[in-house]
Amino acid sequence: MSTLTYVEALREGMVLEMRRDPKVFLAGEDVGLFGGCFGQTQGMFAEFGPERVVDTPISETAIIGLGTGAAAAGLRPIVELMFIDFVGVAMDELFNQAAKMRYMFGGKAKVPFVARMPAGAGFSAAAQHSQSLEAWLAHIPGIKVVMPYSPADAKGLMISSIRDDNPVVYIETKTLYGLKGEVPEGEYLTPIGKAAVVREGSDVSLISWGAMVGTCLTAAEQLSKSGKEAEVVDLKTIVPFDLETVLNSVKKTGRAVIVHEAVRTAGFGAEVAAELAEKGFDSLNAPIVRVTAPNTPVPFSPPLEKEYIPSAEKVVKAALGLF
Amino acid sequence: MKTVTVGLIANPASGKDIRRLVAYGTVFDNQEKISMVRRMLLGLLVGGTDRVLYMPDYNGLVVRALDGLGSKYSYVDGILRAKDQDGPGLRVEMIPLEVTATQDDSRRAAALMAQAKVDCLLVLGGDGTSRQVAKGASNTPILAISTGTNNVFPWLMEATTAGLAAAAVAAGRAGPIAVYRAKRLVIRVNGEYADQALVDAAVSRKAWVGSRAVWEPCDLTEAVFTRGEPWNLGLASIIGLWDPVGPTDPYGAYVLFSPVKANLMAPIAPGLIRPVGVELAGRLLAGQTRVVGPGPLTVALDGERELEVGASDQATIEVDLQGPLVVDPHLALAGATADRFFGQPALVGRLDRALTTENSLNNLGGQGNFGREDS
Amino acid sequence: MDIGKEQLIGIFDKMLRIRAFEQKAKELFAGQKIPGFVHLYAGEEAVAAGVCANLTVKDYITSTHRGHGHLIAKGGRLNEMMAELFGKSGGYCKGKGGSMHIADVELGILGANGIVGAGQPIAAGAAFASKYLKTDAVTVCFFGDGASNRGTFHESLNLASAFKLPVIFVCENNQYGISNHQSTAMNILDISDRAKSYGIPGLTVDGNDPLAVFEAAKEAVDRARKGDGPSLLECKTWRHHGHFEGDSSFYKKPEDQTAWLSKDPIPRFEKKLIELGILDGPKVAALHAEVDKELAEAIDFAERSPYPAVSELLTDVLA
Repeated sequence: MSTLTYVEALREGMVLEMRRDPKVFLAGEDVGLFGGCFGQTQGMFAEFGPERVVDTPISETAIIGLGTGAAAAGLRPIVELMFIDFVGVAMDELFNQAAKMRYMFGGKAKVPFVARMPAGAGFSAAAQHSQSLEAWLAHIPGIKVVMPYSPADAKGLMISSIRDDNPVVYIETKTLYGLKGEVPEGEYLTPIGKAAVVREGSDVSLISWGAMVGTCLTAAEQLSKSGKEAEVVDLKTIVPFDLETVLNSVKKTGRAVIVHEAVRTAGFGAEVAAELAEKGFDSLNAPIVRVTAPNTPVPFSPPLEKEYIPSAEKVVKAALGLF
Repeated sequence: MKTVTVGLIANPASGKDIRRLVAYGTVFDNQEKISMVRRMLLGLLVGGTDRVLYMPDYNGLVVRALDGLGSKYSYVDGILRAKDQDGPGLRVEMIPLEVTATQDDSRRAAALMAQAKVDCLLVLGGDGTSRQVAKGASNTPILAISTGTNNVFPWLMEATTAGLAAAAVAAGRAGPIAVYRAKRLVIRVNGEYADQALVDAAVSRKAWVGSRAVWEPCDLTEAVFTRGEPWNLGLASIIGLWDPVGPTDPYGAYVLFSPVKANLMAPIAPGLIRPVGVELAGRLLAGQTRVVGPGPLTVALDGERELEVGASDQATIEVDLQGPLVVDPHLALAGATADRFFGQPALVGRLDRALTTENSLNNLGGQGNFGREDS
Repeated sequence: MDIGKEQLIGIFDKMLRIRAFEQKAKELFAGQKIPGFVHLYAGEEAVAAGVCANLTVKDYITSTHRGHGHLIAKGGRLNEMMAELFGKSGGYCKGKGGSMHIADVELGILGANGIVGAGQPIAAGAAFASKYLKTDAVTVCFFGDGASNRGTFHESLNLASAFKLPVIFVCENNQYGISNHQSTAMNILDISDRAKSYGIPGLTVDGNDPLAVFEAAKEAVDRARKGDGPSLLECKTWRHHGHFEGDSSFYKKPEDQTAWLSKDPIPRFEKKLIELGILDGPKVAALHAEVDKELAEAIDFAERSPYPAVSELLTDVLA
């Protein structure tokens, strides 16, 4: 074990895979000498050179297309969109091409690439550089979507994503980049499609992913002071969604609060809630509730943005309302 | 008074052939051609031409040129004028030609314009375009300006001054030596007239026209030239660098190529300098012919494979001194200058009014009698 | 000669095959054997056949909604293609793709494509892979005039030029985006002009002359293989039929249709090959007979192939 920040951990995942497999390369805007907009790729250009750490033009469509075509032709690309907010520019290449190739071609194509997309609010980066768009991506059959919270999973999911034979969208949460944690050394894989209980509790399940897992952990400590023990579930992977872990937790607690930073309507929380209602109805002692951002663009002004992002206080309030 | 008329033929297809790949030609895009046509039209307007007849083309080069003149000029009811001028202006008319988007459009357009008795043909294109125009031009003088890649016949020249030169020729003010009669090569297949060339006719072992251009000297068996000077690019450079022949010399030349040796480096295409084996070279007098064939082979005319000669066919190439009438724009402008053509007040009145205030005219007049002698 | 007799006959044979396949597809669509949309390539055969004659099995192509011709020219097998058009399990994609999504990655065919202009970034990606792996494979990206107005075109040409990728962008300019003539959609008519903006060679050739296409494509392919980067090859051509089957093409001028039909690449090339003594009447008839036989077999194969089991609905979403 070593203590790494989230951004160091995800970088270590990339670096280890690039050392192991010459077919892995990284391409994106300013990932080279500049080292990534948030320093995610620092040092990689020096180690692997411009042939494997490739600065691209500001052409998101071509970036995703580069990943798709290079993967179909035998490589294992990691491509980066500087912000997840830019995926709209490249959506056709992602959802009509990469995601559908395998099915459309009757299973005869393999498109193994990772599209890294930094997401999330908290920097006053306003409405076009702060979104959480995992639900958009989850709606597309044919791609996997992961969204790690802990530094260990930032590394473990990175390695698993690179080794996966499908297009994987790896959503990294910007506010977590500085988060420190214990990270296993060497080859460490977090399985895609497996959620985990990151805090055990008996009274209420707080189900979350990305940065909101941290918010839920804070909320759980506060709830404990009120005499309610919350169990915190970190989904880690959005697609495929690990319903079993969620159901088991709710079976134990009888109450579910789903927390996400994305806007409320048709957020991934709606999917989790629907599955829980369909398959876990008998376990529920209270309605399923969601704590989410409101249905607004992400605001710029710090007090507004603070209000926009779900807080531990709001989670506590929602959870206590179920008793 | 006579209506001074210029025929305008601009070829949208030039500057996009395979030489972009096999040599270092760059794309000569149509936006630049449109801009050149625009500059030519302004040269003609200010040069006092009354009427332009233009060839329609699939790219609408002239229409687009007129569209983009901006607010300093108006094009209303078919007449181009400087804004706020009410003089006769320049009438710009399309000739009734069915566009086939083939090079034959240029030939048919030239023939229609010659029939309409235009005073000068102003041509934008390469050797290929010029060749077609020459076929239809009868005795109308041709001023050809280069857009293409391997150009010997057309002049590399700014379009505005080319417009002024054509205007001077059309007005009959270019002086006596600006127009000369060029040579041509007449190609017959089995005794029948098949085609003609202005600069060179080369015999290629390639059996088909294909992508047209010729860029490998080793494909050639022989070539006949009307001209070729050391500064030429293209096949004409071979004779140009071996034993030059000028455009007005009363003879042509031929070269037989060696398949094995190389004794000359010749710039065959832009940036493409190739070894050439000259086995035998000599002059070819008027009426003398070279016999080529049987095929299968192709005869490249002015650098482009045009004629496919079959296994049972024979072709002849003859030097003919009765080629088209050709304008030397430098001499034309020199002649017009000697004649004080560009100082006429009538022409000054065709300029943008902002430039023709009393004051500025006075200033112009103050410097060497500009524009005052004729009044 | 850069091209041997066998290769010339090969190009002609591919063209016959494409034309015959499209004719049958037309009839079978009308006879309701083929569901969905069918976009016929008839009239443009010289482009696919002339370009692909320069490729080997390890080279890649990306294709379009009008893709049958490209696939056949790159070596696609008629049986699996026809079965795919029928939506049968014996098809290239087990009946899951249909006409617009036929692919054969083993043959370097990275798919027909239902989205106009979508193949361009994928082609850049495949070419990137070849360069990265230091193979000498090239990628040919086929697309139409309409696709050259997509952002994908500009992003891909720019990126391919900046990275000197071994890709040849082949624009089949058939002058219509469904019903809209090119002149209504862009202010230029020679798409090769656009190469200039990206610092790559652009050229225009007669897309109805397979020899002109072959020669130009050969140079572009050689250039790409040598590592000198991409080029843009515009082939002016004409689709004989509507945008898709069911479109009467009423928007085309009858005189244009007549003029272009007179430039039909197949009789033109046949005449040339006979003149050159490479083919004669009986040899042409024998090629036709062979193509007809293979197509009859393909249709029979497609007819006999079962529809996919309903369980196939859920497979192949993820690897």
